[in-house]
Amino acid sequence: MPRLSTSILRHARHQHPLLPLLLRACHDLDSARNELRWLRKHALKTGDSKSSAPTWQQRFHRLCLERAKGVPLQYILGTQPFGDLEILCKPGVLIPRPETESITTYLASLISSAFTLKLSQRAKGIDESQWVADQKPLRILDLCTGTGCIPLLMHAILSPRIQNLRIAGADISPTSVSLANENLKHNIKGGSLQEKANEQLSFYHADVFSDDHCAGRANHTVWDILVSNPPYISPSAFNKTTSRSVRNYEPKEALVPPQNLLETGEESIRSTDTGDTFYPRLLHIAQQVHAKVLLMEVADIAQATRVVELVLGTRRWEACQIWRDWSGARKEKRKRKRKRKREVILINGSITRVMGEGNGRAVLVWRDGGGKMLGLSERCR
Amino acid sequence: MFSLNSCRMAFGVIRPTRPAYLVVRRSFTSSNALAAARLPPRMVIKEEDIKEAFLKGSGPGGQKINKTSSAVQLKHIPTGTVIKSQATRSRSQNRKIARRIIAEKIEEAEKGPESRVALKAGIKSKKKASKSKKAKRKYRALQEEKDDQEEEEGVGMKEPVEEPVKEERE
Repeated sequence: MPRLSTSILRHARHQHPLLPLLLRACHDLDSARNELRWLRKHALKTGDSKSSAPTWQQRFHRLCLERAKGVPLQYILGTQPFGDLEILCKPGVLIPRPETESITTYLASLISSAFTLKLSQRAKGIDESQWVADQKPLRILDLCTGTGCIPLLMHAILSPRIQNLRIAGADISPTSVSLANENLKHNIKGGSLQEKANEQLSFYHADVFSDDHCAGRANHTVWDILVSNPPYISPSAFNKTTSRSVRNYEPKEALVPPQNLLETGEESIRSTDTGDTFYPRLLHIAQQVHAKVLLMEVADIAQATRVVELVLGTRRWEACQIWRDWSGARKEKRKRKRKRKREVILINGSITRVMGEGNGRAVLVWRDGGGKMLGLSERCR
Repeated sequence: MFSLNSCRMAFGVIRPTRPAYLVVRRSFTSSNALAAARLPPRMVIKEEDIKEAFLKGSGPGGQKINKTSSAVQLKHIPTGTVIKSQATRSRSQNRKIARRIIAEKIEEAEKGPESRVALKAGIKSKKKASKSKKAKRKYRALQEEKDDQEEEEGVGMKEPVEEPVKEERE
């Protein structure tokens, strides 16, 4: 990281005496100023009426010092907005990222609009509410759920349209599972999730790599859609490319795949990059649970390409797409009738569409009518 | 240690009613509601006319970085107006706020003094003027009363003059 210039520090001190502290964590004045505002609000809000308690100014100062050390803002404030939800964040559980928010919202909007299309094409003489109630339940499973942000946001977006939902999230960490359950209660209480989420949403403890996971709940149930934001950073990339606050304060097990699997694991895992450990396993589980759609978050376009190669190698999937950070972006442009070339990549002799703008962020694969479920129909081969 | 509140609960002391000044402050006129009714409706801008710039920082994102900025930048294509909103931590909130701000800006540019924003500002400044006028009148009356008293008592202290100034600021 480049050193902060004296002029920017002086400038910051002139604006607020605590601003230089936040510059250590933010590195630019604009976001430092925003964080100062949010921390101040937090210090004012979390008052204690006891006379021995510190004043809000003292609390404010302490919060700024913590942030300067690199503690993530979300751990200090205790929350992170995710769509219209407010997700509680605690040390030991990965903080939801805006990129995940973007791809989750995009996936949910595809499902929702495909459902509406299907509704409009129903046979004549059938009542709308009757048709909606008669639909088979839509089952969505999220592996490595963390705070539970993906299942919660999916439910928030889908439940107004689709009545029959069954969504679950699984994580290896018991802290995550209890936090995800807390988030479920918190958002129902806050009014951003419907009351029925209590019955339709559940979180459980499971290890993706253990076989009893498959023998357990995931295998005996059939899931239509499988989503996952697994750890995808290789150990070398963890040391070089992650930011200080991520490296020092967020759980490493949520970022870097476990390395002991590489020595003892299957052949397919051993031969790939150390950040890609989860993807063959996710493809395997998707087949076991008869998933029609699988969405996996990845680090960049290079990893996305490697995952697509894996997908093509299995020969079990009908089609695949790569999504960039802001997947909805290009769709808006198409509405304005400005012609743009569709972005594609040639991987192992097959053409793969790339959607949206920004870094490569996710790989979407589908089969057996999964494309219809999302309103997508093109083939990748 | 008993706090004042717990003592009240324990001994059943009746809570004091609302302080008188709070009651007096309530407005009984319908001037606010009338003013709001006279305002033109909010302008709605078509989604096709807006270009949302996704502020993609260079370098990696996702799990590797923990961004806290969720700024949203909008450009209104027909007029070229650009605005940025980073009011809240939530991107979806910022998108809503940005759309509202850009609608206000464009309306202001189109209609000038007839626009919702200008009318609102007019109402606000009028209110402020009348408030300060009332305050001045009140303190002038108070001052005169005091001066009268002082004259009667025959003491010429300058100190109390500072107090009204302090109050006025509130």
